[in-house]
Amino acid sequence: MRLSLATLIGAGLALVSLFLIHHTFEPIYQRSYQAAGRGPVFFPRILLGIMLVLSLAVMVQGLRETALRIEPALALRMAAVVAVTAAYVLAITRAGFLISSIAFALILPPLLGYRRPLPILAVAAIYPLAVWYLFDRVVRILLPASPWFDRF
Amino acid sequence: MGEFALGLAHIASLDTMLSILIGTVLGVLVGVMPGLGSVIGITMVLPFTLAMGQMPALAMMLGVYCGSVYGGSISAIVINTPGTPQAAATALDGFPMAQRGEADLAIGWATAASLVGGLFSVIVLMLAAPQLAAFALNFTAIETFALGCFALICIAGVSQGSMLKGLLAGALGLFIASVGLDHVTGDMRFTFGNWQMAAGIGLIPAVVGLFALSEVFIRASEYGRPKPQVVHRVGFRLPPLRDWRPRLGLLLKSCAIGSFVGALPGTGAATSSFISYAEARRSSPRRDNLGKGEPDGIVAAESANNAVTGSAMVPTLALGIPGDPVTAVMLGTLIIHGVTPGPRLFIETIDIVYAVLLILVLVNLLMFAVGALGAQLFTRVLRVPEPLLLTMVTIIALVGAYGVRGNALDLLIALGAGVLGFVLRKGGFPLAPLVIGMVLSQMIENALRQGLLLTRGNFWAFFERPIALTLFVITFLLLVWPLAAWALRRWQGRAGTGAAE
Repeated sequence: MRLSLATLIGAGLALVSLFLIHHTFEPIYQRSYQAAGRGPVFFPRILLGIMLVLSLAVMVQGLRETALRIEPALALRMAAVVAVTAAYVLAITRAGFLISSIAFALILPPLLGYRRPLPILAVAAIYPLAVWYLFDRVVRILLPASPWFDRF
Repeated sequence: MGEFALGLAHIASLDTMLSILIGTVLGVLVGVMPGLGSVIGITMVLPFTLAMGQMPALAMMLGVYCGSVYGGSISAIVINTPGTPQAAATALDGFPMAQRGEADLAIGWATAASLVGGLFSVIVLMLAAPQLAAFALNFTAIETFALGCFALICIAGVSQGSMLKGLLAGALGLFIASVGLDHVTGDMRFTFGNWQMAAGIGLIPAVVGLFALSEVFIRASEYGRPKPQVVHRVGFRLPPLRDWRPRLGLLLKSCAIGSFVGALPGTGAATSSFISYAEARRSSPRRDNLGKGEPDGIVAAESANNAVTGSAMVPTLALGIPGDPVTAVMLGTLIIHGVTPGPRLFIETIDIVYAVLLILVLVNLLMFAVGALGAQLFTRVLRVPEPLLLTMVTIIALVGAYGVRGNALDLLIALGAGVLGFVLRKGGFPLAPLVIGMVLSQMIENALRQGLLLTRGNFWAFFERPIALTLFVITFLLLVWPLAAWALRRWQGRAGTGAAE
């Protein structure tokens, strides 16, 4: 049976809610149960209960929706874009904002189907540098620096 | 009067004036670009505002907000693709006018109607917000809890998609914001031993992910279907006064609709413009021409969507309850800059409220000038290749996510929120309740816990207070209404089938 995305999301959230409800009964949360009348997981437990009920309802409602259909080429492109963005996010704190942003600006447009090298190179060369200079040097919001160079 | 003069003094600086100008121009630009919208616009300028003073930061935010609502109309008229959802109704009559070679006149109608709508909403904000704030001063924790529940259910109920999905998104938002330090007991919640998570999941990184990154992922999953775009010649031509006279009633009515709808939690400019358009279709003497390039359609949609901008600030400033993701981000930014919205704002720092009003007036006037002088220029932005634009948006949005707290974890939160936003949007879940849930979580939790202390743990005592009871009843009706309507339709269907047999 092919399921809709809403059903899958509902099932996923129901499982997460169940796990977190179970987690709220761990001893670490019980020690301050009397504080201010209610413990730290009093409110989250109510929310998780509501989330569990609603997730199950969405799961059932989703059964009437159109089944999830994935176009392999688009899914691959989408997965590649997510992977590149994740690598960029991880690289910002490891290779520094400027270097990782230049690399990201070189890789993302071709992934999104844009193949004209000159505009890509221009954007990759100018835009990250301008953003870095503006924030790091002018308005002094310090962006992560690379471990290899002193200034950026 | 002294406070008003102080408010005037706040904005009478070069920094603030420049921020108004830059914010408005950027807002219009962001609005023109299809798919970017007000939230992404505000998250893009957020990192800049971190380095600014209180007033320039506020001015830039308001400039981007109002400018983006107006900017969407330009692309709606010129290429039949609304830059923002708020301008979707404008395309219905704006594009046929452009096809007739009257794009300049359509932009003239849209710009003038936007100006009137925007200024009207400032008057509404000026009159309504202090009254609401004064009323809210009587609220105890119990009423605050009831109000928080009402606002969230309202937003979940009227959001795009099914109510169940809206409610689930709202509950998820409430829960996500409860991760981290418990403000009452000081315990860590759901951090799983990660000390960096003690600060919780910030609103700004979450919004950056939910809106900006998820937009990039959505576009990536939809590419390969290029749409041919016809860009019509653009300029600016103000409609003559004699054409305005028969439309004055419609203009005022649309402003009133926009202001009323805008002040309700969860509705916003897109809803108001469609309600107003529907009203024009019902009551306009020229209703037969609507959809064929009739200026009434543009006047109705544009005055209503811009009339939302000021009135959406009414609950945000007076109660600290944002009505949509845009005002939620603005509320977050206000707090970063030391302004705490709520009833006390109107007593302790009324000068800031006056400054907001004055900024809104200036932004609306400037928006008119910017539209009149730069319409042709703005449409050139539509020629920037989308992949390059998305790359630039991602880079600046991540700077915004990182810059608020300087915490590397916020970048990961933005990424996670981006994936979550993508999956939820693809599954038909509205994101507005999730964001509003995050904003309201701490307020609702604190109010509930304080309320239970006041009533010695008796929750039923919450229903003994008249204002709270009224809000609970309305909330309950909002919750059961879709179910009751469904049952009624089913019953009517059965009755109809029975009669036919």
